[in-house]
Amino acid sequence: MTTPAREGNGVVLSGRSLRKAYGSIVAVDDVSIDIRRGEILAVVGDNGAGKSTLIKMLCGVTRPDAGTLLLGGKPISFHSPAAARAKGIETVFQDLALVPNQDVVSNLFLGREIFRGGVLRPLHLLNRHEMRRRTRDQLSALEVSIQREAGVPIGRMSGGQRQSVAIARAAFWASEVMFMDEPTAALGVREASAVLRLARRVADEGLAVVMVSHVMPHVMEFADRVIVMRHGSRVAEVTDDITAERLVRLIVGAEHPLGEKQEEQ
Amino acid sequence: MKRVTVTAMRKETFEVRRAASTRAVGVVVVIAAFAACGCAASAANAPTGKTITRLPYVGVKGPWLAWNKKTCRFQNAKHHPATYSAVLRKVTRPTKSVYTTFSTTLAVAKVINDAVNGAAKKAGVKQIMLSNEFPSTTLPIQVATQAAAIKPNVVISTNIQPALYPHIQRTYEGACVPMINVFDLPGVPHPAPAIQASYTGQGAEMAKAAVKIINQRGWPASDTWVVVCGDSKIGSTPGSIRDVVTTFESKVAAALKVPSDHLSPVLECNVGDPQGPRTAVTDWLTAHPQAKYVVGAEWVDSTVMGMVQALRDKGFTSNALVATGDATDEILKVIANNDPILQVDTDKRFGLWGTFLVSMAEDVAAGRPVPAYVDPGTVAVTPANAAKVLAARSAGK
Amino acid sequence: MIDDASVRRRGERDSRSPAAASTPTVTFARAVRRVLLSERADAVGLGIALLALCAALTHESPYFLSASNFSAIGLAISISAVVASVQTVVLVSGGLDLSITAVLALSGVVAESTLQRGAPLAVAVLAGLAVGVVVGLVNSVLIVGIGVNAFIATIGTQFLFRGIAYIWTNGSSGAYLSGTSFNYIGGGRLLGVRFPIVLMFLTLVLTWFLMRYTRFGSRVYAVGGSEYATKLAGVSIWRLRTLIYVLSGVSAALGGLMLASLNGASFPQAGIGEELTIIGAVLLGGTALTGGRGTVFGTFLGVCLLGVLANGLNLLGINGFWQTFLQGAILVCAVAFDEIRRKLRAR
Repeated sequence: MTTPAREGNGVVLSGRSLRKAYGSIVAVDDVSIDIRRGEILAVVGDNGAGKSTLIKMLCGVTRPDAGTLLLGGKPISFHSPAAARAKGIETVFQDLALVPNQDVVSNLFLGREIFRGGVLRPLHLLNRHEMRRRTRDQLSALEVSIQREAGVPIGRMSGGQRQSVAIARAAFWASEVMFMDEPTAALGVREASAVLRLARRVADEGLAVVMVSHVMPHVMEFADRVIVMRHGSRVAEVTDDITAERLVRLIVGAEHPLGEKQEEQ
Repeated sequence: MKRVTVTAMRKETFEVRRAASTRAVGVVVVIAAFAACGCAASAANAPTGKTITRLPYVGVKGPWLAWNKKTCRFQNAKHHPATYSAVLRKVTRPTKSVYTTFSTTLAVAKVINDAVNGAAKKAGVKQIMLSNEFPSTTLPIQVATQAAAIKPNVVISTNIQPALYPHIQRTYEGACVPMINVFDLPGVPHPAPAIQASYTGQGAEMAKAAVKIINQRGWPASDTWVVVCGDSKIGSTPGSIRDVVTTFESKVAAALKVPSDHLSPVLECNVGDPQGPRTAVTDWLTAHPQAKYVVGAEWVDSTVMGMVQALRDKGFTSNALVATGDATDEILKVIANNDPILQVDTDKRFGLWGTFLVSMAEDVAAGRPVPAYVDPGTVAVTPANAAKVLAARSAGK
Repeated sequence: MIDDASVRRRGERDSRSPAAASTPTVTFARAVRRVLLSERADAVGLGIALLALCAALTHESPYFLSASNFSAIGLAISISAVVASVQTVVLVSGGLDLSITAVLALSGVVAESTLQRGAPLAVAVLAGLAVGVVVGLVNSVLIVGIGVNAFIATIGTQFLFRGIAYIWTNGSSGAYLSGTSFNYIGGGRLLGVRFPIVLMFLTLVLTWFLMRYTRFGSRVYAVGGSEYATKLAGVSIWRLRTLIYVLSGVSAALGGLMLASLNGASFPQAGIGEELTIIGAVLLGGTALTGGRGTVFGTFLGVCLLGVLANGLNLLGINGFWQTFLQGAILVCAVAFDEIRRKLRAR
């Protein structure tokens, strides 16, 4: 953990005692979580630990069986990702959910196009000029260097470039939280760190960033705070420096988080 | 046993334009031959019932066939009358027939069905109608089994799927019931009397009517061109419906002495709707700007307006003439209004097929010999008689 | 995980090596490759093929290059172009509509019988177009609502609505309506141009505009590229696809009105089997059957190429069998060329 944890306050989204079961299998059991502005929060755990289910409940893909969500301290519930998006919560899915035959601009504005104003507005004519300008601004603000490929279909970009586009899109529309599901799983070393530096910049701009990841070095280098999940429960939260070995021991249950700082509850 | 002479045929209420005078000569020769040998073999079962209607055939082709109850097949008749015509009579002994129609929904089938059922009623034949419902490939087989089970004296079969005929005929032979092959379908393994208006005959009728009008209009042969439309999906070989337009073209060329390089090949017109002929004929006219007078032909009414429009669009009026086949009410109305281009249609007179089919069925049921093939002929319809034909139709003839 | 970008850079370095670049053959090969791989190669290739065909026909037939012959070609392709332009939208969206030719027949039948009951022209035209809307809605209920495969659903509705056309007319064609205002749709002229040709260009321009400049067009390309991603982006797939199938039905209905008016009568059997010719022209124009790719301009070139070919063979008096054969040959070459190009590009 190279970056020190931010101020404790600034919680934008929290889950309280969330629970989700699929049939007789309890995927997430009584988990509480606070998500803070300006911070990268990593959720780690073994396969089937419940981390994906936890994120899905927070970003509106699934609804919790029990427990509550609080946005800015007020209870809220999302019945779809679109509902969450309307509240400024964006998600970068593992498969990125980009349209491969469209360029960056179209992908960035798909579903939220900008139209020409005036009397022609009912015709929904695209204002490509404005969309291109805003895309350019967003990409340069986040220091994503795919300017030259701006008109190239996403499908012909590299995995890292695609991931950057997906993150730039989420960051562009998010006003509160950006979730990322396994952002570096399909990337090479160099591309992965470029993508995570991008996530860092997004957090520095003031968004809350939450990522689910398997890749321990990435988690240790970029996350401000780590929540460890095991068998559907939250077993630890770490904010200070921790060795990769200890983190792995926590994940697999070889070490119990005695002496670790527990979240007050 | 001459029942009808050639002269008598000509006196019929329905004037049939004979396809070729050579055929009439042939018939006369046949008459003479049989008169000489004095055949009277079928006197034993000579018809006795009261004559209701009498219609001539324009074509009769041998051999003559008689039903053999022992072999349950038709065989060549040694003795038979000199000529054959359709004579619908009141039956004198109980006669049961099954009429298997090809459809109860298609417009043309309805005309034939009404005619056949009406004629059977008039003749006192106990007739049951069953339907093959084209394009079903299973119903014709079931219908044949059902018809055979009824044990009629004769079956009038209008199956129009050749591939099914071997099975159907076997079924009837198994029940020892004679069958008439309506429309002269190929694929019938053993001889069966057939009835169909010939395509070459139809083409010749079209040509004769067209030539008559063109001669009145006085077109110079050196500036006259012939264009014909076809569709290789439907007819591509001699014997198919393509014969209508190829016969038309050669007959017109011969009668008007049109140079052979003024004759179009059978254009590929995709005769689904008029769009096909319109495009093909427009392009042909573009490629032949020297054609001052154009005579055209198609075999279907449903698309002929495409050919007419192509000519109209190129500025043709009475320097063009188009002939067609089918004689649907819609096209006859256009002809009755004396459209300068669309002038000739040919009518197979399906409304009269009741007399043709039921009279032959009576003969077969009574064991009398009938020709292997008869042609009821087609009648040309021109502005001169179109209104009359339409009036006769609406009067229910 | 191999870095794609580095692979590409390495490839470029190879081809720029002095030994390779020195021979003119290699330079030429690289130029060909660049043209082949460019986004516009479809349209360029098709345009060149069309021009070459026109040049050959001008040389072979003295009657080809004339205003009246081009008007005849325009008239011959007008209906397929109208239907094909919107069929491009359907295919780009990853859909398929085989019911178009049944709509073509039924809309003519309905419009004509409305007219014969004494209704004014506008009512008859609207009744004909309404057939397209109804069929489009039925298709969307099946495809979008119930989730039936578009191929199967529209084969079914094709038979369904063709059947209605037969039942409605009892199998026979309509009466010839000459001298009525309805004839203007097919037979009229606007500023000397045949009205069907005017309608064809209007439809082409409108569809091109929709696809190129509107939110609808952009979403059609998106849903064809990835329905999943488009849905996650908050686009109502249901509404989008319904609109596409209704547009498809309406374009076919317009084609049916043009055909009935041109013919002067409606035919329940109109356009049987033509749906594959129309879709073939769209594919020839570079549209992908898998969706996401294609342009209205490409479709127009595809329709033109087939129309000019048919016209040329007619002018030269070449047997109709060749027409079918050459149509197939062109289509096969076009799709093979397209596939090879995509593979090269993917390397």
